[in-house]
Amino acid sequence: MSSKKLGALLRAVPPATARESAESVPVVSPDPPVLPSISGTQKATHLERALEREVPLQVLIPANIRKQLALKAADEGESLRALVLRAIRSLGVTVTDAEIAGKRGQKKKLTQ
Amino acid sequence: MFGVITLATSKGGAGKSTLARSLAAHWFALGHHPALVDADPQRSLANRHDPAGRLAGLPVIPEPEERVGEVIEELRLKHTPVIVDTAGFRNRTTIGALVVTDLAIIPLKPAVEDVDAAIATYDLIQEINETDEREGRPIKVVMVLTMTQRGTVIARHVRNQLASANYPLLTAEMPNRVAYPEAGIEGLSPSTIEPDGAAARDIAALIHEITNIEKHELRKVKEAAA
Repeated sequence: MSSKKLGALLRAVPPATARESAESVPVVSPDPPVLPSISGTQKATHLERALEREVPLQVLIPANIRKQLALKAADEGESLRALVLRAIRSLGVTVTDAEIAGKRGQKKKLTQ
Repeated sequence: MFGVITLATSKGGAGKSTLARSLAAHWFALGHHPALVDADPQRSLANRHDPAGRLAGLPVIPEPEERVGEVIEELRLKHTPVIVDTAGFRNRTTIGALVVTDLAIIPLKPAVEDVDAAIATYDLIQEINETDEREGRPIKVVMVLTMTQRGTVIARHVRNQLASANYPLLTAEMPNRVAYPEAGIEGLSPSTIEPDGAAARDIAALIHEITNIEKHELRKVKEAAA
């Protein structure tokens, strides 16, 4: 049983869980944004740009799978990054050989 | 040692969960028996905690509902301190946790929105202190700067402003370090992964200051009783 003052404080604020507000406020989904279609040439430019700027991809996976991946990468003599990109390509995502090879060492080759 | 410590501020992203886990993990590493109560409906602490991992001996109890006070009282019988992480907005569960709290820590980044939220939370705690439930035993409250970058003008400015307005701000800070999110991936803290690292030393400094506050409070109580 709360005192009057505490009761007033509690009544003035919402619960931490969204139960009450979820019942009273209708959920309105915004219309999905319309994405511009990418033509063949635009797609190529898109990929070139992607190759130019790389972004990190961090996921949590079971430790045993991570270990298997590391062993497989060592077996096949390629980087974990290349292995993951090959797996992504097998899912039907467009990944070029250049993207799998990555940018590492490219500068060196160009200067040789 | 303070029996119940609640991390609270009405602003999200101020570092409540990170600091809660870091304090709990550090006390755990020192051989104490803390417990963590995750009173945030997002359950960021409970979801990341591995009960079979390196912090297996540190219970993490998700309790975002209003019976949080009862849960804390049960836990404090076996665990010291009970550290409570709360949601980043003013809600009944946070008030319920604060009512049974010995020390409230208000984390804030050196940014104006965080300062506003910290002051609002401080005022809320003063209101709770005026209730019958806390009569004669006010909640001790301190603010702590989080995610600071050494040598920045804004951090110094915020510190000076809060000090000039007599808000209780800890000298120790939780600077912005990559060790926190890195350790957080596995629900751990820098004190577990790298106990002699810079982030663990920051947490140790915070704990040292919190312990000194408690000693000071105890002295005051003894002097009043004498």
